[in-house]
Amino acid sequence: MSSNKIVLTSSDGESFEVEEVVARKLQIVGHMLEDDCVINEIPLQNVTGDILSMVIEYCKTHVDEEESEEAQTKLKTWDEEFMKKFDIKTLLQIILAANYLNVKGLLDLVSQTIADTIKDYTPEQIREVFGVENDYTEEEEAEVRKENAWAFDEADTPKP
Amino acid sequence: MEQGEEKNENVTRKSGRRSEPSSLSKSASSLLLDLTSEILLRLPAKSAVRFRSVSKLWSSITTNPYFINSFQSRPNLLLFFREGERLLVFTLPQHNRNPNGSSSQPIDSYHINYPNIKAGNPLVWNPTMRKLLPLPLRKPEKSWKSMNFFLGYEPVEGKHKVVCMPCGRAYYDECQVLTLGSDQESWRTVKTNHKGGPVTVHRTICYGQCRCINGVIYYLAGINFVLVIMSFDVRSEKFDVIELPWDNKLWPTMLISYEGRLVCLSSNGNNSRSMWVLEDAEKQEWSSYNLLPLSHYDPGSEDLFKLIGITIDGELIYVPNAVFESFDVIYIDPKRKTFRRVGYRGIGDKDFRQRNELGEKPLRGLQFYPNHIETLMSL
Repeated sequence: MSSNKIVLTSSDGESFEVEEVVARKLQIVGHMLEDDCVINEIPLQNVTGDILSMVIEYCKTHVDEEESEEAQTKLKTWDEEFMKKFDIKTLLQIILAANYLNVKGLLDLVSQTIADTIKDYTPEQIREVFGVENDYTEEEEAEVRKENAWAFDEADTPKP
Repeated sequence: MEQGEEKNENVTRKSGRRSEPSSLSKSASSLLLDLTSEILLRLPAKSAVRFRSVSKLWSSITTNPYFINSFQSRPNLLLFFREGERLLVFTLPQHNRNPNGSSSQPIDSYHINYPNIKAGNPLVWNPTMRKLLPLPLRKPEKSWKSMNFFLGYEPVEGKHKVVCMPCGRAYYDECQVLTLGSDQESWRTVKTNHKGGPVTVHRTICYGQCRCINGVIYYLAGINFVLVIMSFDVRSEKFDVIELPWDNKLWPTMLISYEGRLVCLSSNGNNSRSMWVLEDAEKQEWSSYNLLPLSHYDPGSEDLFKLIGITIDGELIYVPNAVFESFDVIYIDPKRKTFRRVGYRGIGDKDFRQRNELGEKPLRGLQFYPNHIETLMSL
């Protein structure tokens, strides 16, 4: 069973041949396989090849999740190193892919990595990176800032 | 060896890999609402609150009751101190070996009493939000000159209660209890009702001498001049007595919580300390082992550091008595006999002092609390 190969195709037509156990880490694929066992090629509409290859890399590494403390520590270190490769822009694409493909572990990992990356951003930087429109009037924004003034207080934050 | 490596690790490491913000492709700009919420839930409280000014949508995410209820940080090291009228509060990363493990309880989010508050005027506050909540409580019993306040949490109904009892020489057989958030916030008298006779708490109890664990408040007290641990069940409001498991050659120095159990540290007055774990409260069964003194791991530091508790991973935390510039925190695993010294930069350095008009004196009276869980919820 586990030696079955599955071909995953990205929105931009890139194909990846992976073992079934790896493909099943993508829950979206797992559900498709349950519906019909004979599928061996699966098109994935909402993810590009470069992002899909990263998701597959994650799934391959996490394919057998051992319980032992040593294995867990090793995986954790791998996760940290893996996440360090990406800038915020890529991280946001990975989180969308992890959500669409339904890879729980990766979704948790990338959410935490994004949070760690943006925690010192200003609201202006957040708007830019996340493409959020500022729908406050000037007065409203000043009011919200005033209410939460302590959260802007530099004096209060340990700095490098 | 490890010491050297850990020294380089400091609080700035995480933000070190910040990349330049850049605008995104349209797919990511419409980042789904629940993904945004998922990310915001993992931020430090300060960032989550700051991002309320990003947009009305972002503000609505972080102010909605579901978000406020779910928001819970990893265990941190809380530090605050007073400078004149100001209160400076910091949440520092606690270097837990296993950052995802959590056995902290909701009680670890709140504190009772404000530093240097006038006796008898208790306050419950949430250091994360820098808010004193609610308004100062009324002093429960005018005739009590000096008293202790304990904050307890009972997980079944999710209620916080404040327990007040007199201390000093007077023996007492009752205390005052107040349930926070109830319709009529008022003090009720609860009898201690235990067979051993009147109980006395000899002096003001500080943080290390009382602990709320899984709905039970434990504190040190005396019955007929014998030192005991009293327990107060926050839900049933019943008191009980736990005898100390050793003869009187040892002295209890600190009550701490580890893996949901009560741990009592004891000292023989010299340098020797042992750790006693209450395995079964009903049968009063304890297990114990000896702790190596701090000087065993780091000669010379025993006078400069004090023990404040234990991390969720079972590491003892030692913090400096005074802060001159950047400072170190020592983490010791007494079972594995490991020692780590982690540097924290930024508090107490020149820049920091200038910004906060602190002058050049050493910072004293710093209060450190381990396993602090940030919450956006007020009591």
